[in-house]
Amino acid sequence: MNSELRRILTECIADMERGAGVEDCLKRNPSKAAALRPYLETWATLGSTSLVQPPGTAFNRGRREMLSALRSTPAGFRPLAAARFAPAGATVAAAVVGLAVLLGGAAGTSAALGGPDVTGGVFDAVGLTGNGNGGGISQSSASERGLECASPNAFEGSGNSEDKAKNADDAHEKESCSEDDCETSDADGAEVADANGDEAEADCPQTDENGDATENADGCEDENNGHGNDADHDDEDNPGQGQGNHGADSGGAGDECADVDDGQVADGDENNGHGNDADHDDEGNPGQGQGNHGTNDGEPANGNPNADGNANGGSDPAGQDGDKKKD
Amino acid sequence: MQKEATAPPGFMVGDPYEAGIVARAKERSAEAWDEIYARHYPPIYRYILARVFDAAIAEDLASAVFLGAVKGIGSYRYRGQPLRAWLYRIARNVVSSHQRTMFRQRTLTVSGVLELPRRVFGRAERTVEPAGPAAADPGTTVERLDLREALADLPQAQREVLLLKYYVGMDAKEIAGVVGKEPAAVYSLQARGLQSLKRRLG
Repeated sequence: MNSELRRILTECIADMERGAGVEDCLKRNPSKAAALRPYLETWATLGSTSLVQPPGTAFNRGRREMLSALRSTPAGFRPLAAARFAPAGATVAAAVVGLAVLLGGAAGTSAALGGPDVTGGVFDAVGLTGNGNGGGISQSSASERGLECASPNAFEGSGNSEDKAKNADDAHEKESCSEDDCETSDADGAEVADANGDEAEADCPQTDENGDATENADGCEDENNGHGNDADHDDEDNPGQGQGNHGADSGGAGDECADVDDGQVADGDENNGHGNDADHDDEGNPGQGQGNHGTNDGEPANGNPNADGNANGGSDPAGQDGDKKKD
Repeated sequence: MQKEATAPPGFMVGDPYEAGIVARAKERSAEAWDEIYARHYPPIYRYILARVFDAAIAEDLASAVFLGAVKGIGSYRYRGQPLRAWLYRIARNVVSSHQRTMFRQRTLTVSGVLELPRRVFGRAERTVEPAGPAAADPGTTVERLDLREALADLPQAQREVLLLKYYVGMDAKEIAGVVGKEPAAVYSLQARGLQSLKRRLG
């Protein structure tokens, strides 16, 4: 078939779709009528021979299946969309948590080192902290209380570092340095968890400027890791157990948690760097220099919980260096 | 269709009745789906039958098309194209999936008995002669078989436009929207397909 005939055939097909008949097309193209006729008749016949009707049973079965699917599929359910966006949601959540951890750790470090309490003002402004009875999420102003408690004893740890054997068994005869302050800190931690129920985990990273709460939120085993007022390890002979400086443990809350896993727990010393460690306290040495543990620069696995105390000398009477630090 | 050509992208044009029924279908109205099914099942079935040459398989696959439509209506947006164009696309995918499975199974089957593939959307398997005469076909079976064979031999583009024309019942503009061509190209393909078909049918 030449191209001219194909062009005419194409036009005829278009005309027939609009309602024209075979004869109408042939009349318009008399010179090609003989060649066109068989094609156009085939074209016209196709429509009448191809309209097969589906069996009634198949029709009804398909209808039942469709309506059943209609009932079983929840409205608006878009599994592909959900699957597509789930990783993005997880990424955003992880980023938020990571940011909170980093901010908490950095702020804790700053505050514990005696620098500006970076987040304190912000948290106070939004009601997330409450050193008084303001009733924010967190009552743990550990950095301030820590300075008060720890500073008088700040560098005694160096002396105590030589006395590990003597300090061994006095752990549970101890009480906190300043009961009001230290108990408040513990109690507040508990209150946070109780008061907020399921939200406690989410709130924890924000509750403590020193990042301590983040440890709990992250599932670290020692809720008081880095706190001098650990309920299990308070030393009544060691007032001023140095809560304040634990924030200086470098690396932020995330690192603290890692330290618990990698170093502290491995060493069996949950209070690594604390003067009132059950294994290392010395009832004859009140204020065992816990305040210094904060300077343990992310190396809790060194097996020497009072190493920082050594670094600070140790000849200094209780609290003097700590006072300097506070100043 | 003029409106479709001039309307800005995303602006809904087309049949208000169809737009309404799509909206009701999105709200999971059983009546709307009943209506869609009653109107579109026969042409979809015919299209599939013309592709797979087996009535039983065509029944199953046609049902699968509407199950897929129920599941996918949430993401469907009516932009003036006929609903059956969307259903046809589903049907085309269902048939392609079926044929891929058939091909894989044929290549794996040593015996001459073809095992039918698992039905789309998890339906049960069953063994049916793949190319036997369609029991549900009334009328001139021989003519239809000849026509099917002739259609099956056509180049894919020509076969599609002829099937959509005569089995699904679309006009050239609807076909153009489905296959992504201009209506004039569809007419041309139909003319070429008609020539090829005539040669095969004798």
